[in-house]
Amino acid sequence: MTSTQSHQKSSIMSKLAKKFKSEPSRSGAETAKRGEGNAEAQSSLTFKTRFGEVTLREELLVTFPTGLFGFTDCNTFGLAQLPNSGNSALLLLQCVNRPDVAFLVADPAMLGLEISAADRAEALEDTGLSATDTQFVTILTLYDGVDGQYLTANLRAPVMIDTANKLGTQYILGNTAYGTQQKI
Amino acid sequence: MLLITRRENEAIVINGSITVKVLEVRGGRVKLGFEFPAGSTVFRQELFAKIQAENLAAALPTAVGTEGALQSENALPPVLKSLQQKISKPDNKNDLYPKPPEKQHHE
Repeated sequence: MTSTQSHQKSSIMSKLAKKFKSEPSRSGAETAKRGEGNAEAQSSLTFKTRFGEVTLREELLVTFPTGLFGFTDCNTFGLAQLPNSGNSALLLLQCVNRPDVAFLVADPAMLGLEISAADRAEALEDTGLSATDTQFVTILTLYDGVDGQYLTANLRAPVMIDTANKLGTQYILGNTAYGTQQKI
Repeated sequence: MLLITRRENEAIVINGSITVKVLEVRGGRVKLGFEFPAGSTVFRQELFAKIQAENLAAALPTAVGTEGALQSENALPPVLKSLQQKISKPDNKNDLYPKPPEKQHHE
């Protein structure tokens, strides 16, 4: 990384931190706070979620310039493991600038679902995200059914996370074979 | 919203690069033709609405104590608990951002 890049990054992050701090808490229950760790790159954000405390490492936060569909103002996200979940591939995609928003996500392959290589390639080309450093995750929805709760995965509109450029987006696949509510 | 009346075979140009042409009007249906630069995405509005609704349904109320929060922390609904166990990774690496598998090259 060049010094210019590192300077830009830290200034974006400090702006973000300021924005975050100045944002009034919408309810007393929201207790996202900025971790005051090592002054170097190791600072982290802690969110008190319904599943327990979740920690996001600041250097791993990803910018979503256009947010997610229906959440266009959610522009910074971090991926975190659920508390006490061991090493599960079930992850939390936590919005940083709106601490009240989080999604359950997972790698579709871990769910026995697949986005074909051709469709991935098309998505990468369309979005311009890194072909080697972009992972696809699918958003999970918990529904109440007559026989109890069930989970669906939105395979039609996966979230793409480019870890090299720290950019993310939600992409609608052109292939209509993928459902927005695929049962798991 | 901008309103423009067009007849069959008349078109509208947006930003000098996107053309929307009325090809046919019949029986309450309009057939439109689109020309747009490569890299544009074009979807029916219903699909956008569907995906927005899905995201809204999927968004978790995360703050403890808000409506919809679980009774106790760390209590996952059974369906999530079983999924979580099912998709546990065998290795011990806490790798949130795994690299995608290398493409296999067939010579």
